[in-house]
Amino acid sequence: MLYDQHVDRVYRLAFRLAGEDELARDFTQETFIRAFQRLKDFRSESSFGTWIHTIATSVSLNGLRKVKKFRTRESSLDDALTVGAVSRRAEPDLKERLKQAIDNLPEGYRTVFVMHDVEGYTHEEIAAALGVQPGTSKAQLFRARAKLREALADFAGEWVS
Amino acid sequence: MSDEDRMDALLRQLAADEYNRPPEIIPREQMWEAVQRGLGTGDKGLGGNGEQGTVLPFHRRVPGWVYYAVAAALLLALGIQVGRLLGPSPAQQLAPRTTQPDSLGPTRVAPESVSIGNPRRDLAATDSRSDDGAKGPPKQKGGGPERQLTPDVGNDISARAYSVAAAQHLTEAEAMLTVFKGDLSQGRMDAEISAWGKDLLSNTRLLLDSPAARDPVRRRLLQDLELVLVQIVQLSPKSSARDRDLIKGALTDDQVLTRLRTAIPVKGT
Repeated sequence: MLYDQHVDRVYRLAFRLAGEDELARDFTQETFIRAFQRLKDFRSESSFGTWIHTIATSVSLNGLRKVKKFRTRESSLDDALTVGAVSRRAEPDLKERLKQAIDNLPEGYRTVFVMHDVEGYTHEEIAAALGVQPGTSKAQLFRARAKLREALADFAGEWVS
Repeated sequence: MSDEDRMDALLRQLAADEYNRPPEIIPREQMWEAVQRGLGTGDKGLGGNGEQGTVLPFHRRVPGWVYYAVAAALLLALGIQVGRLLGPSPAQQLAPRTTQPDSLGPTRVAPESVSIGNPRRDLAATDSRSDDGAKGPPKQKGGGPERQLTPDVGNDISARAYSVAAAQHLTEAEAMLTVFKGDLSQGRMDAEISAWGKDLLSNTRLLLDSPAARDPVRRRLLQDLELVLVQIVQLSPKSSARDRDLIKGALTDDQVLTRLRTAIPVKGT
């Protein structure tokens, strides 16, 4: 069944992008509702896999933009931590620092980083899902990694030793 | 391995282990039930008709019509209030600057000709298709009806701006798809079409995320357009004939082109 074959991967991606179960469920459900409503357009498994991830990323990113707009009103400016201005003293926990650094990446960089480095998608799969060229995906991943290295530079000495 | 590579590898590992880590057990059954409910009742998506699923978040639990009803009530209240404040006299003074003859007729207005100083014609061109343009002239020519030009300035301008943007976008999309369809039937694939498609895809996604997508019909059209554009953007000279057939099928079966043409206001002469 198409749903069983793809739901885990779609949900995992949605969860990685959204960071919470309720949103991930909503994005996953929305993805399959939209896909099944247009299922007649697709006839083979491979097409469906690529296509459903195109829908999943679109639904997730659009949904997250709406959520972000809503939540921006609630959050204080003091809580916003920019990638380049993270102080190790203020936030000593590396895991939390990494999460903040990834969250603060520009949307395109973050999406590609999560899909490639975290969830293991290929650049071709990412390009197909986002409607860009594989070269664009590679370039964004390169920049995302550079920004993360920069944001976590004060940990570099410990890591590479 | 360089220091950078080593740090990248460590970051990758740490991110995979820790960053927004999904639960081990994925709630497949619950999501499947929600998907079935969504499909069974014809729910059209995020702005759909409000399934009462236990796992659906707020924006899916609240019926879509509630938003429209609240918006309409607020607009009406604002209109009445501003109308009372301003009264007919100031509106009459504004009238010569804000009204234009209606000789062009109700819906024959080009999107690019729409301006903020010409609100009623804009609305006639881009809003409800069931609006009868014949209602327009008496309102504009008399002194009293001029009050309608002043009340809903903020909301109207915003709504109009999105409607105009949507109309222009749909016009461009229709032109692009028409050219693309012609190329497709001749087995050609123009690189410019792909670049054009990317631009349109970006704008489609922006519109989907804007108030322009609050209209359910327009939202549905934009969603279908987005899917077609994604397929076109991914098309390359190496793509198989089946890929092209899929796009052709999407254009034909979902009647995207026909719906686009229906949604675009007719240009004036």
